[in-house]
Amino acid sequence: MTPERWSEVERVCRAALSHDPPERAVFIANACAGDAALRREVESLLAQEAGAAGFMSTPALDTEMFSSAASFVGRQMASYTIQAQIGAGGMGEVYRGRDAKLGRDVAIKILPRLFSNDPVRLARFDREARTLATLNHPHICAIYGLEDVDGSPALVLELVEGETLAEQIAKGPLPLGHALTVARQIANAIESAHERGIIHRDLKPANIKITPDGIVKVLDFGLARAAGEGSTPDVTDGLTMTRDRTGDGVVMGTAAYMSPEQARGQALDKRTDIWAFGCVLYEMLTGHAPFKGGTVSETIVAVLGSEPEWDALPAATPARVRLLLQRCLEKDPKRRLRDLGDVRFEVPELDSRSASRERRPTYRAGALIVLPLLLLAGGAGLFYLVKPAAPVTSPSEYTQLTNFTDSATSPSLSPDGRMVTFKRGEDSFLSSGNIYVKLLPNGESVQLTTGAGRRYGPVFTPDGSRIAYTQVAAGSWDTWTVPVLGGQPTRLLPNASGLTWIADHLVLFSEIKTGLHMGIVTATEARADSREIYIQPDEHAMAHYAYASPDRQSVLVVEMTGAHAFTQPCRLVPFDGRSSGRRVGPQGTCVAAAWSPDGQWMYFSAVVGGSSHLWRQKFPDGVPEQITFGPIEEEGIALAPDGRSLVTSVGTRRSAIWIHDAAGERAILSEGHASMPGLSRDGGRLFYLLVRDWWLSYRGWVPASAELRSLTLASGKSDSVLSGVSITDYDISRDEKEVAFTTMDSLGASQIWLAPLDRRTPPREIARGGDHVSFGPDGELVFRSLAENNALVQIKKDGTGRERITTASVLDKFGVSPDGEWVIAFLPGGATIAVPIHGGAARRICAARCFPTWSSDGSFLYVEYPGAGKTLAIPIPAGQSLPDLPAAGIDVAAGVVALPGAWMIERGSISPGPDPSTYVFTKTDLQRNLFRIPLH
Amino acid sequence: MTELLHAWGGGDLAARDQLVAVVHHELRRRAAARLRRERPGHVLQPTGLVHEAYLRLVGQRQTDWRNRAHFFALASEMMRRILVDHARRRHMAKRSGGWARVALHEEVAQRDPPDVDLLDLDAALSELASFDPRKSRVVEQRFFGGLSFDDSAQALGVSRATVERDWQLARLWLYRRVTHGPDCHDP
Repeated sequence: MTPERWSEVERVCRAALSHDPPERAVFIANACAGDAALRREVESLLAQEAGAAGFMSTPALDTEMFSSAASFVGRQMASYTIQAQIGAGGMGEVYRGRDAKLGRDVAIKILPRLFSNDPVRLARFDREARTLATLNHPHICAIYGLEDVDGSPALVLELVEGETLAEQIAKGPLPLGHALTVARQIANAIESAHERGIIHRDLKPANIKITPDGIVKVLDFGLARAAGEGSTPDVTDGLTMTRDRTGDGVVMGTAAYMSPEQARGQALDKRTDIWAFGCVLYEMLTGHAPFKGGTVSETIVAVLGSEPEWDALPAATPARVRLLLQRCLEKDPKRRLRDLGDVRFEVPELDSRSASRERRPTYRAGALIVLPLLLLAGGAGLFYLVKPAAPVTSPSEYTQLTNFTDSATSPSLSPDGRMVTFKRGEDSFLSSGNIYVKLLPNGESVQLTTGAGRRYGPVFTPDGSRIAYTQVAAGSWDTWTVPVLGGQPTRLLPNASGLTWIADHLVLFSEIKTGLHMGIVTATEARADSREIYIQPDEHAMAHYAYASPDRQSVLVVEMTGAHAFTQPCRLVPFDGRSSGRRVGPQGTCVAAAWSPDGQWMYFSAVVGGSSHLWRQKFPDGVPEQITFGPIEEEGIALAPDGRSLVTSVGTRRSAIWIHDAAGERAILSEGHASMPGLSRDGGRLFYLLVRDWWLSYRGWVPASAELRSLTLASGKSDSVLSGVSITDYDISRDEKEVAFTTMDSLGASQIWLAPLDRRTPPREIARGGDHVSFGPDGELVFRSLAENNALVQIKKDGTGRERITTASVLDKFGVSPDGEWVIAFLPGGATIAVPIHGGAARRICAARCFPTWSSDGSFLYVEYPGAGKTLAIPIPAGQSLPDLPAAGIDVAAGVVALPGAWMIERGSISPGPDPSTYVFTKTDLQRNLFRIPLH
Repeated sequence: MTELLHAWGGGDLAARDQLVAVVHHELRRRAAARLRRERPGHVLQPTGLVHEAYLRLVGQRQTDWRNRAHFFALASEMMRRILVDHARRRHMAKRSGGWARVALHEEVAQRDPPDVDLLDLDAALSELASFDPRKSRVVEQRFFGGLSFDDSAQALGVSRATVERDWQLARLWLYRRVTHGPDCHDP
């Protein structure tokens, strides 16, 4: 607040106070006409009148005297003697007392003196008394009476001896059995309160006590308000958050247990307690709260935007408890568990051995020692980012611009802001898709390109008459344009992608130097005066998008590493190319960026902790702030010319695993994001990844951090295969005794590991700098070596005998044939080939990119057409490893190919089962539409 | 004392420093005695420690109202520091002492007992001073120093009505600040 502004506020307040209340509102409205902020400030100040009535009416010295620990000790109050102070909190100080009449010890809670004349606090205290009095439950701290001491009201409560849950957890995670016993009692208490319409609102370990007899008591229903009472939640309530008294700034109060809706200041119902219950249970099992941050803001960012570290749960945690936690910690209250009444907390017989704190399962201990680096950069815990002081935007203000049942991505606005162009396709990058244009706000969406083809990054020409976009075909990345009013697309520039205009006839784009090495250059539309702005030293790295600042001094770059996925934050580089700049934006995966028209703000679309949201950062040295939140994700940014709104793609991305067999098709797994399913040879067991975090790669969205799980189809029971380890890819050995998997550390380096499926020994690291691992001919491992020019390499399981299969660079590697003779690779030139592992001539599978897989008995080759959601099943003649294919390979662009005995399965990403009619597949539920988001 | 007050009034900063040392000592001694008192809630003097200290250090006969007003202003500032320090020590003692172990209620063992009190008020007052120093002074003198409206008016060289109005608005602002925190809309 500036002194000038304040004197304006004061002037209006003063004048308003001279009016009688009925006339005041009108006076303020007139006095503040056209200045809503002033009006809010004045109204908010005057609204304090009643509350402030008793405020500071007692001199500070007396206040402080009353606050001193000894102040009430020894006093008499009705039949109670106050004996010693035992606590202090926002709602008052707590003393131990003795009830002479009933001969029992009690707890006495006295309202602090500073507020003893404060009607708001008094009313709240009174309400607390009434609320508590209606609760009579063995696990809820009881109220005995309401008294008065020296004019301060005092609650007489049941005295509960013992430690708080917070104190117990401070010594380490609780043994599983104990944790579940405590959880059951808390659940009973909460459930009983909920039945009376009372919500706790401040459940946390410090509010839960465990008596020496092991009885759990939930304390402090001080915040509880009858749910139907029109509660007025308030994030800034001194009771839930406060400044640190030691003077070192803001600390975490109870923000860690606050539900997302509470953090947003939305209306609360009993589901806020369900969330807090989930937090408490998680903390009992892991020893730390699920959402952590050094400050309140950081904690809130985590609560709103990140997933708990599920891997931190002890390996022995029963699947049902994991599921319960996930259901409690659903950010969207609508999807959250509705009540705790039916939850069962029995400890399964099998897991009782882990019920001792000392005896953690040995496998887990081993894994922790061997894999210290595996908690990935994308996971929770790396949030050092802050929420803006005031919300930049809120979902209630979003305006929907398109209405597709599938996916609209990559919006870009015309220079006058009246038209939007976008891609309609699965993802914003290399998925197949077409380019559309739409007149805002209510025009029809007009399709400008036709046919399958990988197109991305549409933008308007400076005169707004054409739309330029990138089309990738047969290994070349070219920029095409198409008239806004429709017509034949023409190629503008070859070897130019992600192109944007920075002035009339002057463009900025990505250019391939050699192979896959792609950097950012600027040139005229005719490619004259070409100048390099930024190129990474790594020959396999690709810088795909560049956004010049309005003053054309800086460029925001979105780039891929050699792993060929967007895995890192954006980069800010100088336009003159004198340096390679520095990373900016949130710590996560940056997939798009933009500038505000005045150049003051950088905007980012980034995946952080598994969710894709929008961020911004003040240019040049601000701190990244998340501006959109919630379970619904946003991707892509087009700033309106006035800088007051942006257009983005809003939607959800979920994937379930389905099975197709003689009985038809049905979902077998629909919790969370399941990916990369693989059936065991007998078809009885399903391996899959439960994905926590994502990267956008050539293949679309791929796991950046995932848990390998297996599901027994007959029982429906699922289990973690590699507890505590976040992986990116895996392969199961043919004898189904081992798993090879890859991980990526926080520096982006990739490692290859081997582990027995029975968990007898911890995972062993076999190699570094490689990815896409599979089991090779005689149990060797075959992978792509990022350290060796992306060559295909094989290595023995003991880490020796490393040798190259090819020296050529591959863009992607897929599986190995069941006989161990062939490995599938995708070449930069655009063909998918089978490479003979023991030497010989390679064979072409597809003329372009496709995803081939063998059935486990080697009798079929399944070839998925990328982005088309269909797979060709081709029988392999006996005695061969590969089917007979045309020499040029399958022409996936041509649609169905006539091959003897082959048939088309109308599903993508399938994993074959024991017979040709059985397979599993992922079903991605993707709906994304363009929305306009106002910015404040 | 009277000389020191005179010298200070004449612009002698060394005199002010000496004065501060003496007054601070006197106030601390008296405040500590009060805060140790076993039976609170009774025998509160209508005028506060500042008046007692003035009487003791300067004496009844001193009649220069300007000296008196300056003394009161200075002493109020010191009282604020003494009381806030006391409150801070009290909070820290609670946090670190054996006290936490017997805690049975509330978030004692947790990081932060969220009560709103002198520390919050002190911070809020400093914030208020950043855009309206006079209102901050009025509160300091009235709440910490126990000064009357008239004393404050003299110390600040404004009318009693102005002090009353300042007090009224400052109280609204401070109340909102300590009960709703810093995020409450500032235009």
